[in-house]
Amino acid sequence: MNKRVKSIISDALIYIFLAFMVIIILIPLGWVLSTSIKQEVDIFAKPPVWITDNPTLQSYRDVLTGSGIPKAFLNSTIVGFMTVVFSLIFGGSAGYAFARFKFRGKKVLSLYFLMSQMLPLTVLMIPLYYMINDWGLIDTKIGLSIAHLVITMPMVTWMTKGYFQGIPKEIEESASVDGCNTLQTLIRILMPLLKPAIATTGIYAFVSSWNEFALANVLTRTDASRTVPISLSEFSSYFKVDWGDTMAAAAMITIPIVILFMLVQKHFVEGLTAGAVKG
Amino acid sequence: MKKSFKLVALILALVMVAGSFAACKKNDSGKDTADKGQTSNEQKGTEDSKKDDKGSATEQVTIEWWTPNWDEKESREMADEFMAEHPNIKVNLVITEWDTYKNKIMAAISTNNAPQLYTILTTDVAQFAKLGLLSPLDELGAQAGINFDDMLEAALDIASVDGKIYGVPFRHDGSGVWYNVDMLNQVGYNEFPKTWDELITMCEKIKQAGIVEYANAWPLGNQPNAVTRMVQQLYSLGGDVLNKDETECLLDSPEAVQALTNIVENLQNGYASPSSLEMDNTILRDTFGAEKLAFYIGGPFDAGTLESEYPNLNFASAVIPGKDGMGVTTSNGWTIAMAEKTTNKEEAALFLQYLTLPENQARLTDSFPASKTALEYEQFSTKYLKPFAEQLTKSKPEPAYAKWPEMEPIIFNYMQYALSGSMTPEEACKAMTADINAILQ
Amino acid sequence: MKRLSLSKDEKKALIYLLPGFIVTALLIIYPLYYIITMSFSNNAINQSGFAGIANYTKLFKNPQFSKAIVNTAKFTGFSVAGAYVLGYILALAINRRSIKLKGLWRSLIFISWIIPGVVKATSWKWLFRTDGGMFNHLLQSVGLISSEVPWLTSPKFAMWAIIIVQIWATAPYVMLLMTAGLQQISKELYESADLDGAGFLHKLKYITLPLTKDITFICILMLLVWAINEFSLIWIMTTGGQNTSTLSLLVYNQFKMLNLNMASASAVMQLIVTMFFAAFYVKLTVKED
Repeated sequence: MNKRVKSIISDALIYIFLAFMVIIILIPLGWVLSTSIKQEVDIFAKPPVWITDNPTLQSYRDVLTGSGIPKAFLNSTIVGFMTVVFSLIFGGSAGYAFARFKFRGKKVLSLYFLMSQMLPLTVLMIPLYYMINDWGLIDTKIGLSIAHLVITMPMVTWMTKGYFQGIPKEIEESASVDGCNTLQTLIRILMPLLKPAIATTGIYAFVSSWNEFALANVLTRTDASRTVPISLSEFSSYFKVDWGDTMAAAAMITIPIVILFMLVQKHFVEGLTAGAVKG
Repeated sequence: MKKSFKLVALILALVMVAGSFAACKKNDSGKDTADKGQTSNEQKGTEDSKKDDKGSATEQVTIEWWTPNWDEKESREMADEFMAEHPNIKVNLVITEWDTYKNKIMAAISTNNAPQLYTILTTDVAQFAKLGLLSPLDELGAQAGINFDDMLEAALDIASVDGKIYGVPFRHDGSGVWYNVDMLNQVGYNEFPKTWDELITMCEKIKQAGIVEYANAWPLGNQPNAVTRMVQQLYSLGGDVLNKDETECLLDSPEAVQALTNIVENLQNGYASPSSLEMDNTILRDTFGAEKLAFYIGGPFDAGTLESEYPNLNFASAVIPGKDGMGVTTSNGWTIAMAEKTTNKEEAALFLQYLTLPENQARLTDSFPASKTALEYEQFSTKYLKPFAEQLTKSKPEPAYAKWPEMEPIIFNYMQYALSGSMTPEEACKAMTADINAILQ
Repeated sequence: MKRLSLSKDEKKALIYLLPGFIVTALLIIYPLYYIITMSFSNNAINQSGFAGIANYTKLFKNPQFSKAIVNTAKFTGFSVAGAYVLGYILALAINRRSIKLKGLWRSLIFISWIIPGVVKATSWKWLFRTDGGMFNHLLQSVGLISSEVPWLTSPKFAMWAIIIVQIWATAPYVMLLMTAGLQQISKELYESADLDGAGFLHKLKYITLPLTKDITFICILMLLVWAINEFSLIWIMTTGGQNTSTLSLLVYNQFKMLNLNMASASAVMQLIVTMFFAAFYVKLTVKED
């Protein structure tokens, strides 16, 4: 067989395979959207149908006016932003130290930062609860965002370390010849270069906080701090089993995350792989 | 240069704030083990001084009550009424959910300076109390004017440990049968069968007549709901879960095997809906309401929903059929308990007293109250509720063994094996008995 | 030895590291210390009374613990293998030179990783309904199954259902790391192999796989740790019923049962298992420094 024909055929097969995989990836989200615009009577139709004949936005209206989701949305946004700020300050400066300085115990410390990324949240949950309670921060947004540093700090440190390493040391050195000290260099020279990286890291931290369930489940009590995953999980509990509303709420908390990701996907991918590939 | 100094200062300040939190924690725990009373006084002191800072003159105390979402509306009303009467007390509500209430309460109640009041299942009281997390209420409650003599002994017994009362029950009920009158009429029944064998005969008739796809269903998708049904079958057959001194599991007895077999065969013979495995009590009620089932075993609290949400449904209630007549139901209810490691106990007791007055029990309960006075009210002797009241005369409290929380998932797990056909009921019962005996040692 | 004297670099590093170190110490080391103390106490709530290893011996005797270990192994083993193989195939497909719109494919596939865990679990729970569920309907319409499968309500299938979801959720991460790894392999290697007339499998075996060995390890270890620690997915889909209780679920459920002695002992066991794999990960990642 002609080599070119062979390669065209295998290309076609790969495209079919990729398209098939994308469909599988998107099925759950598609089913969420499909259910969310159905009338109550059509939700349990047998056999199930993908596209309803009588679409309605009633479920969305229910969620917006009669549920805790809008408040949870606000809470999640605030908690997310606080987590981003804290983890960029603390994790970013640690990442800079790892990337730029030689010091004793560097290996041990990076071990420590890496290991802490892998700790089971169910293990930390109980003591964290008691601690946050003793600080009087149970059921507060700030308490939850402090707890979320557990999941964001190590990764932010690791990602920023990768970014700083990607900037040639010479740039900084030439700056220090010009009389800038380290911090001035950091702010005046490095920050502008790292804008996309900072955005990516920030979004990573934001998404982690937005998605986190186990800690938020115990650290929140009322709608003063309840975040979207908790609010959603309460939709399908004891006394209301309204799949239409549940799916509308699920769609509403997922779409901002997906859009956010699509906006920065290129940098995001680079950031996530940087730590692992470059080491 | 100055700029950079500021940044360092800012970071250091943040660190110091974080550090001082850690210091706080250590002091607190030290005091706590040394002298609990002192800690609570000091905490009160700091709260007061905070208020002084704000320049407020009134000494308002805040108490918190964790109440489930199905009681939310009444809870808010009562809290508002109480606050109107006691302007010096502010009541905050935390609304709990069925799936997570126990985890969250466990976490909250075991901390220092815990929230004060919690609505919990009456059978949970002993577990919390044995861990030293609940305040004994005999004196505290009597001082606040709670009339324990008016409470049903059956309910108060479950809420007591070693002769001390650890909670005030406000709801006490058991299960019964809800059935579709029209469907039963179609196969020639004017009333619900009295024994299990007659019940199976009726299921067969319903299946033959084809008036409905499945005669009944079980709430087997939900652990506590499913295990309760199994235990009810077991009690009806005269069996028990553990021996008297709670050292040996009796679930490999012929009665237990029969209890499980009753449920498994009911499904395998095509009488009960295979969707049972995904149902909990709520879905079960809604399926019955949508006229897709002829009957189900449920609670008296379903009466209101069935009446209001399914106006065309012609339904009635009955007692649970047993081996030779009325079966045995498990009984349980809801109780309000107070944390041990908390402040403002007197004020909390006052609120507790208000919540458990007969007329308020009648408002708060979805089935029967635990107050004898309230039980006489007309609203509890409707045609729907009468059979449930009758059934309560043959009832046994739901298991409240110390190890029950660990036993329940084991029972549920092996029930699922038997229901899916991977094990026979005998094998499942043997396996659950072995696992439970292992944790009893 | 002047042990305390710090180099210029060390002084600077200290300033930058200290805040992050203190925050993590507070949020991570202290809780770990706390839970370990709890696990050796008679009364875990007050951390009072030294119990020695009594809580652990009790835990090992508990049949729920051995089941949780088996379940954790099963869930982790199958989901990691599945996600790795699938993710690698996806990476190879996207990385093929002639494939266009690489970025688009990559980000579409990445969606299943990015969506909130609660949404993942809830949407799959809804897909997995036995009676009139979409998953059963799809399988039936392509003829893979003849009767409806009770995915989440039978101990026979529930674990497999959860494994499917975990693969679906983590394979994109493998794809992502592997495309990055594949791009680092120099094209000349393939070109010279092409000149020798090497086939696809030959190139895979002698060039691609060996040269992505390191990143493969990192990737697999990451997947292992995630699988061992996965909580919200299983909790929402089965709450650990239907024989799907892994170590994470055991810890949470013991806590729910007010069984803090057991909860803390199982938590420490989970910690040990996780850290065993994390140690390998760290060894690989830090070796360049």
